[in-house]
Amino acid sequence: MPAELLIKACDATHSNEVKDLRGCYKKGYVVVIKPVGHKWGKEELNKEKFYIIRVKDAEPEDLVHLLDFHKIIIGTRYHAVSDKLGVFVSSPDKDTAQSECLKKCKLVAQELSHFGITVNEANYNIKVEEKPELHTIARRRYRLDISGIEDSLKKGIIEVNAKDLEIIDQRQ
Amino acid sequence: MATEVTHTIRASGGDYTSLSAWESGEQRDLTAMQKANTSNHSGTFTSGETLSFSPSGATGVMIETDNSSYMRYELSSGTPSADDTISGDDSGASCDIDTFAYQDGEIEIAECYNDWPDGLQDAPSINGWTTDGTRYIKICTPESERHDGTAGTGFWLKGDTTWVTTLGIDEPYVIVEGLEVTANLANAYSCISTNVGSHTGWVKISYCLIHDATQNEPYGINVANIGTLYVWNNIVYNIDNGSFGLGINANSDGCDAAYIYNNTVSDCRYGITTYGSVVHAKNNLVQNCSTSCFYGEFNSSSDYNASDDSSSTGGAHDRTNQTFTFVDEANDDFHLASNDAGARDYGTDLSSDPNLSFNDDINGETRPGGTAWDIGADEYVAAGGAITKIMDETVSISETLIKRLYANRFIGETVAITETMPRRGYSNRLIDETVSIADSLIGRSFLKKIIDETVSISEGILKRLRSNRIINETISIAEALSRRAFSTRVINETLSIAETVLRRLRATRIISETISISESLVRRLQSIRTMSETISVAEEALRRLKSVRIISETVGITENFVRSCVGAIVKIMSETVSITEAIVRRLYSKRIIDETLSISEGILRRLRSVRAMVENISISEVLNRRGFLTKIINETVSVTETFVRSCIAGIVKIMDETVSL
Repeated sequence: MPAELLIKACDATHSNEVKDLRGCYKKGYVVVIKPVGHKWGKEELNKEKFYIIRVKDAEPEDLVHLLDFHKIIIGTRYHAVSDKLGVFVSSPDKDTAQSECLKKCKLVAQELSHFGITVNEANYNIKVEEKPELHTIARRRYRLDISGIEDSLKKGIIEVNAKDLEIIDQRQ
Repeated sequence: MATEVTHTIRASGGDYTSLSAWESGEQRDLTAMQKANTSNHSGTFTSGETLSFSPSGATGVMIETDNSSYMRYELSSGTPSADDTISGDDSGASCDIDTFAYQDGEIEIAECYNDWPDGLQDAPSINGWTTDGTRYIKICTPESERHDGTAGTGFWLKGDTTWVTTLGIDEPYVIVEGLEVTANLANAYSCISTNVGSHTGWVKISYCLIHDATQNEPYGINVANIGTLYVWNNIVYNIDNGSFGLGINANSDGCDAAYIYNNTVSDCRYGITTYGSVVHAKNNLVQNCSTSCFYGEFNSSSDYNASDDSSSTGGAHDRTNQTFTFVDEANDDFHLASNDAGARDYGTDLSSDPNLSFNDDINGETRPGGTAWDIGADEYVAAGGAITKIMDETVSISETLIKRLYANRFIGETVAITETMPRRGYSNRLIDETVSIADSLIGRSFLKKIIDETVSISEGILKRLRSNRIINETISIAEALSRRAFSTRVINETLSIAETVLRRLRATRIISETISISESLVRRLQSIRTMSETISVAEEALRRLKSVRIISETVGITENFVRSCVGAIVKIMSETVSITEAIVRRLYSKRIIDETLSISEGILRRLRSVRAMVENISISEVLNRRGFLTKIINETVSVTETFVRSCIAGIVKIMDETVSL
């Protein structure tokens, strides 16, 4: 089923330029992709807010990259977990996560021994998992240049081929 | 006072068909929103263009206008005046301000409808707005579109394959109320996550059903950065990827304070986790968590929480190692059962909590339903308990009212009698005394006080009666049952069953309507398919008929042509035969004649030769040669006959060839 792109028709703005880039939808951003036949809402058909482009030779899943946020990895967190003892530590430093978890496990094990439960260090079964810390830079990586077809878009839905979409990578 | 602006999220017939589109279309500075009533419009303003206000010098951004009577705009600078003219910098359009509809900003409400039985595939991220404590964003469901505390009974947001968090809240001052949220599609991590970039403002999450995040790094509710988090009356379950999964997570890195009250959390790796003493946990029920129900260092105000393991928040009234009984836990119905002994009536009253106060449960039922608040998101309303209480109060109020009305009536009648006394000729003394008594009563404002109280009480009763019409009907039924000497236990159980039936009927109704819609859809699809096939067949038939028609016409034309050709050929042949026959006849005659002549001439020549020879020979010789002559004559006749036969054979051959051609 060919795709229909809901395109922002005007800029939203924020006084903080970093938040503006990270959060605000700009003219030419693809907001939502639906298959042809989708019944758009009243405001979605408001030409003051949105335009709709039908891409004849592409299915929605072919174009999902147009919805990509621009995100980068700004750090890593390490989760150290002992399921056996119910201990969990999260830290940006791997060694810290592991040592803190071990320290807490020892305290728990020591206390458990007073209740007749023995858990040796070899059975703490501490697992450390690395988790990337992502940060959003821009609401969209890509923008469509619609300047050449805007007059047509104002009249209604227009049909194009995927190769005719003028996609701009905003990251220079 | 900010003005509420509501947009609907519906599969059809609404303002938007997804929360992402709503967020994109409505993103703005809510604190700067104003609306002016306008006139004298000229031209057409365009959305997003810069507006200039003259003579005040204010500027703004055009959000919405009908180009005739109003203008909604986002104020950028200055203070507009009611005398201003507004001009669009790009469009050149203009209008005059008559009055201001409001200037105190807006509250943006996204109202979600239960139009997606399989869930709305969408993962909105609230970002790029400007909000504050009185001008905020609210994402909610109308009560009729809300879940009943179990999955699949109301509006359901299920995330998207393109984004990791089903509902991302990256702006402060956002309320999320009454949604069902899951995160189980490809790439999904968390159900609800908040990260506004600093410890600023608040986020409130309540009356939600949050469940099924079982891959990547799953969280039910996660706080990365916010000032204060309020989380109450939510049910959170099945947040576990096999090694990790936090039901509700808030810590000192993520916020300054988190008030987590009356939530039910089940089937997670960890139930409620924290560190840094920022989480104030009260009345939370956490069970069946494979690693720990409560984990970390909770604020010392935490209390009245319950778990089925040994973990707690450290509160003096926390209940550990409890067994909880739910209506249908196997099917994820975490409403407390009537025989629950782990959470019912063990909570604390939070209706006057200084940080977060409320007095209902996830279904909107009033707390307490029994003798005290229950722990968890659901309040078990003891069947007949609240009703009996209301009945008692109603009877008491009614009795007081009746007593006062009697008094009122007595006084009214006394006054009426007093007024008629002069006409009846009573003595002045009697009249004076009666008037004196009446004056005394009136002077004491007794009458007025009684009437005022009666009115006040009546209004109170009227309100209760209106709001509790269903309860009253239930009371009526209960009274009937009571009159029939049923025990309270029977009534209670009946009401309990009725409540369960009601919940199931709601679910059944939804299922029934869904089936009905699906059947209708299938019928339409079948109809469309049939139409499509019919059209296809018709088109094929049409194509064939066209071919047949062409062939038929071609055959007709060809037949006509052939007939014409055959006729012409026959005619030509006939004429040719006729001509040929004539020619043959003529040729035959001529040739015969010529040959005959030639033969005759030959014969003549021979005969002359013979005659010359005869004349030159003697009679004897003549006689001798008669036989010779006879022979010559015979040969001549033979040669002539052979010649004639050859001629005839040649003619026949020519005629046969002519006929064949």
